[in-house]
Amino acid sequence: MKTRRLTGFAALAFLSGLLILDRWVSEPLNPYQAPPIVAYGSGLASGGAHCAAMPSAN
Amino acid sequence: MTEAVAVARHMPPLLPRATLIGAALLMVGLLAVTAGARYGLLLAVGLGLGMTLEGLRFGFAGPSRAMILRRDPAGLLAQLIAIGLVATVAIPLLASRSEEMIGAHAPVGFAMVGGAFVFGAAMQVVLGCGSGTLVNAGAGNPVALVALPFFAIGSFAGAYHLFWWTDLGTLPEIVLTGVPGLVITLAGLVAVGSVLLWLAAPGTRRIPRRLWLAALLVAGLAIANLLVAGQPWGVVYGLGLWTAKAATAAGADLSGSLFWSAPANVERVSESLLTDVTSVTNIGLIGGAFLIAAWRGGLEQGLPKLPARAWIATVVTGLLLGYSSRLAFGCNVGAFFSGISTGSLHGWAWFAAGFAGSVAGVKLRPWLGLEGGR
Repeated sequence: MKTRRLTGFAALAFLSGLLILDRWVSEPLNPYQAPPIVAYGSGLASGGAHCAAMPSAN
Repeated sequence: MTEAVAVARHMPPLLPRATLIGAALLMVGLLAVTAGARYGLLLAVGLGLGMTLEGLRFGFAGPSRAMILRRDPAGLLAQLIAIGLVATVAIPLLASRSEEMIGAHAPVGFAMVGGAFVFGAAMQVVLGCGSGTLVNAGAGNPVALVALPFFAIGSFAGAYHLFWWTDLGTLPEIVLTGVPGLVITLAGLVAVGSVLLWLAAPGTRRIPRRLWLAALLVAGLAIANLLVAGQPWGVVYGLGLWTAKAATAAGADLSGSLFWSAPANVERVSESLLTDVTSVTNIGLIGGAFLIAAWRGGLEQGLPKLPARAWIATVVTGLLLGYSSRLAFGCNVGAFFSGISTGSLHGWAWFAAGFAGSVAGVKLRPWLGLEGGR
């Protein structure tokens, strides 16, 4: 009988494929340009990439 | 409890538990080293959320269904408690740290309310909202696994057309801020909780210990998300971004969309998903749910046999979940949970419209052949 083992690993494969695609098309990661570990107290504005955020068109 | 779960509990776990914990810690450490400590921490938050939602069966679609079908308010009450806890921290925090933190603030409008209604109906069809689809997919639920890519495609398309929809009629953003905002928010949560208790069936007015614990953990992790990322917990932005990445890789030109051509989104599409807050926590949700399912033998459950119309409904519903959640400025997490807990009026409008949609969705689910398919 087929079990959720198949679909659970398929979900991980989906993520792996996504990250491989990401690695291929995105700018390389650079930990030296990473923001401070915690936004609280950093003084830097949030990136604003959130479901509720309406981007300005300019 | 189903027979399949009972059988699964007597089977050995798929992977040794130490291996599962080690793999999760390794992923967090690797991301911290390669992308930055903030993203490693956010992956840990996402893993914690996935483990909590799957391990303690805390969700968003199921509690609405329980209230509609059995007048059992426990799950909804646990959600309200978690939202209240987050609001108690988040609303004052946003007032004092507005330069470095944002809330889930969005305007109420025709498309927003309609989107929440459609999302509420769709999440009852596949029994999974934004976080629920990710968690269920990670736990090996085949319906969620099929819905997930279409959810992502729908989210991309909904964002693509977002400005057209908001131009149909949208109020100014209304946000409850400071101490008065917190008092009004908490009073609103108490009022909704009181109505739920009044409507509850006899013997269902007690919140199980499992849900108390889940509410505390989810609230703690949502606050951690806000402190670390500078923005509240969200889900659907990341899913749309995944499709935007794939579309760009396939040569698509996104400049025709006001949303995807906005400078902030162009930057997100060009940079790695591993530096996008919602993508990282979404990955954590799937991973955390997989870990719990593998830990307790849940992956040994058999797959359901569903009719063809159920799979067609799953694909269409996945698209609708994604599209509608963008018009609604979020799903249960980004709009309802994070909207209310950061003082946005659209969170309350989302809850009312989403619950009304759930009533329709509960009736649709058996008709589409999905009953018993979780």
